[in-house]
Amino acid sequence: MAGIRIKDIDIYHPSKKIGNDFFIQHFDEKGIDIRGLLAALGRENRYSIDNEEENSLTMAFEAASNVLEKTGLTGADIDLIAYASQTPEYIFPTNSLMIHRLINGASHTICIDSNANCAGMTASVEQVSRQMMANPRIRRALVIGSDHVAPHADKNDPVYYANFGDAAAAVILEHDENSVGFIDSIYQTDTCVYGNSMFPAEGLANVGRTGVGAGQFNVKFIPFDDSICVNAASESINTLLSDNEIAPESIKVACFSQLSLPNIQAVSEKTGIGSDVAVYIGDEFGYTSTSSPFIALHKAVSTGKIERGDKLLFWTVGAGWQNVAFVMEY
Amino acid sequence: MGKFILKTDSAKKVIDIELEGTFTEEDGLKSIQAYKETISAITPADYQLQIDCRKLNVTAPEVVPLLEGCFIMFKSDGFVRVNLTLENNPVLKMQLSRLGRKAGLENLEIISV
Repeated sequence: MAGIRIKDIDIYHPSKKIGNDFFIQHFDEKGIDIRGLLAALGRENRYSIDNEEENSLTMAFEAASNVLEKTGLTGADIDLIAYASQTPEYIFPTNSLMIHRLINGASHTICIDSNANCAGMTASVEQVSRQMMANPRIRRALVIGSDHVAPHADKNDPVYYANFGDAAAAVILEHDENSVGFIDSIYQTDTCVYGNSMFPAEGLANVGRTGVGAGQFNVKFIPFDDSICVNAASESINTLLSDNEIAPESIKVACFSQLSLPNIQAVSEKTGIGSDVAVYIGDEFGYTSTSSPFIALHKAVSTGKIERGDKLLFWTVGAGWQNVAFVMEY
Repeated sequence: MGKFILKTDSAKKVIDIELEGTFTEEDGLKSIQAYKETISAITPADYQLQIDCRKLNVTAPEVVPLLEGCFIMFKSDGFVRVNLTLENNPVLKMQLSRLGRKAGLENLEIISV
């Protein structure tokens, strides 16, 4: 049976590693104790860009180049480039077009940027897989997710300033005559917190009207209990597995949003996924938002936790919010 | 057509190369030949190599493999430092930085002006 499968994955992160101590001291000086927050979310380290040379586009290029080199492919082998970011370095041209130039892409290549916030790369892989199933011209796609949130975080806001890490992931999706690959997906949208995370805080039109002062257009974040997405995620996953007659115990690896370790554990428990099935990398990488489930996949692949033919489950959630889940055979 | 100007400053131990225009493969081979003749008369490990690409159309994709080959050559020649000056172009800078790393040219500095 022909399917759309993940041919390979690779990642990139900057070299500088920052531990919790840096952020604890930063917020202690403001009289805010964030030890409980960091412990609750499962944070320890994260990688961070510490120079003016790197940004979300450079990280995306590095991750894309890594996966192309690893697979022995070149830009000419790619029929579609999808770039997912909520912190794209440019609004136009599309960042995927820039990646196309940098990898010497072919003239027939489709280039699209997408933004579903933290759910971005998962939604992109899902959408591209669906598109590939319908369009035989796309035999191979490069999907990249990259976020560099730090420059836009309010330094008085522990959630945005202390939790995020910089990284990018790139996967190659391939039409394979001998694989099952992508099986099914499900979305669940609930806009009850649509105004709680907004960027730029004053809106893009105001950036043009009043210019950009340092810190003026940071993320506007109103704290809320993020655990409320657990029930939505669990319902989605249970429906997805049930509709496709997939037993939870047959899922070998689950790549979930790395925002919160307790959420991963709660979703696993409510869906019958074994406690050792969901991969956690939020302690090493921090929360890398759009790429976070794929950084987890990279760990599963590089440690041999998953093998070809194993069932793989993704779930993540984007600001506002939107739950995305899909299941595939690796 | 691509042009190159090659100067050796023995007192300062610097080789200056200015590249201009769009290089064809033939232009590239000619400049590499001139470069090889120049460094055969010196000890590259004592010298700094300064390449001015501000007038070079390096955004042409076909020039990139040529530069990749040059980086490998500079690495094996063992210069103290290799400086590459470009017109401000962050995207190109990142592309060439990666090529430099791939070639193992750890002492490459790309200056965007």
